[in-house]
Amino acid sequence: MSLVLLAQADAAAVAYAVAVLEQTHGVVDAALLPVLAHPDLRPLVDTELDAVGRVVVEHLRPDGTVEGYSSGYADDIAERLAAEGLGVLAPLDRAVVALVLLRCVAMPTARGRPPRRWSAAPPVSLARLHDNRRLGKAAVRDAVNRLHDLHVLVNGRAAGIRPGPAFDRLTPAQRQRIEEDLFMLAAPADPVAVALQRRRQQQAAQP
Amino acid sequence: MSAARILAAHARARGSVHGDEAGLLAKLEPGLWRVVDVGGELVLTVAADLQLHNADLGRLPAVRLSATQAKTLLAVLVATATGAPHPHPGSPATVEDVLAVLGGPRLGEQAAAPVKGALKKLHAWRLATLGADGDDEVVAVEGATLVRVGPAVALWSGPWVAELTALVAQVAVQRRSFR
Repeated sequence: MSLVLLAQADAAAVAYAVAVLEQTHGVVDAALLPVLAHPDLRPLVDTELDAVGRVVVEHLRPDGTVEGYSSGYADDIAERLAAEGLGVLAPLDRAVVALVLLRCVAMPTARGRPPRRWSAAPPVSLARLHDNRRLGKAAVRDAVNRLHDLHVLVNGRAAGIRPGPAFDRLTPAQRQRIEEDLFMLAAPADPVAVALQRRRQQQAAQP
Repeated sequence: MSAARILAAHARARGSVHGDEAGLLAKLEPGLWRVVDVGGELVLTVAADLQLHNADLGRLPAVRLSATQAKTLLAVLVATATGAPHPHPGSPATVEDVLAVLGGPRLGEQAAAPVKGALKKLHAWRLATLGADGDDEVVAVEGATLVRVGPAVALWSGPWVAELTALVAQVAVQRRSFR
């Protein structure tokens, strides 16, 4: 349904929600976008975002209620863009992102302290990233600065480095894929990792 | 998967619209999306009256420029100002002109370094353009390096732009009175 067919206030609320989701960086408090909890208007927001290949991403509290919202590429679109190399990070930058996610997300999660959101994970110091001897210090520092500018990481200098607001735009399926990647990276011989790799290979082999 | 949906996603991911895509993208909801010509490059962005401004951004998560980056951007706007109601495209200036706005000859090498660093960031974010047309990578920022307002500035719209232009004009008048 076109926005012109809606009552002016409803059209404005739908348009405002799309504008906010597309222009902000990070999670928008659910209280600021009540239209996304409206049973009739929420589908219109979903439709307008879907028209450009985007979806609403809901961020839930531990009790299951919605804490806030962001927007991101729909799963099918994200896969297609990645396959075409659009928005794909360089190998060194990907390696640094993997190090940060291992330190900030995977390790605390393995210790039973998963971060509320990846972008709210406890930061890691640059010195810890330098523990990885295969990547030179200057290369890691430059990559962190590049990734900070892309909002993939937040370089809080003395406060440390943590995942950035770009991760808030991932859908649950996209986050799960990264979690699986981290698991396969950390424990490639684990039976679960082997099963994940097998499933990926089977999916890739399907026409 | 509709063609317009894929084209729109590509355009958003690339940050630009190919000429042959503009027709199909023009069919998107006009109250939400627009295709804008930014100095010869087409960009798909939100409708002009949907740009978030200060009243919204105060309570929303947004990327904010650091103090040095904001000061440097303001200096770029002052150095390139033409008196037109919109800062884009502005007139060409040099890094020396930008430094002059921020303190002129009194600004030593040490104080100029963060400004040059901020200019590089503004170039990366397309808020300023360093070097001649077609220079994607600017390695060195020298005094004679060309500076213009960037394509992202062309997308600015709304009443706040007039307020900013008035502020820039005020700074320019003050600079003249100090000379």
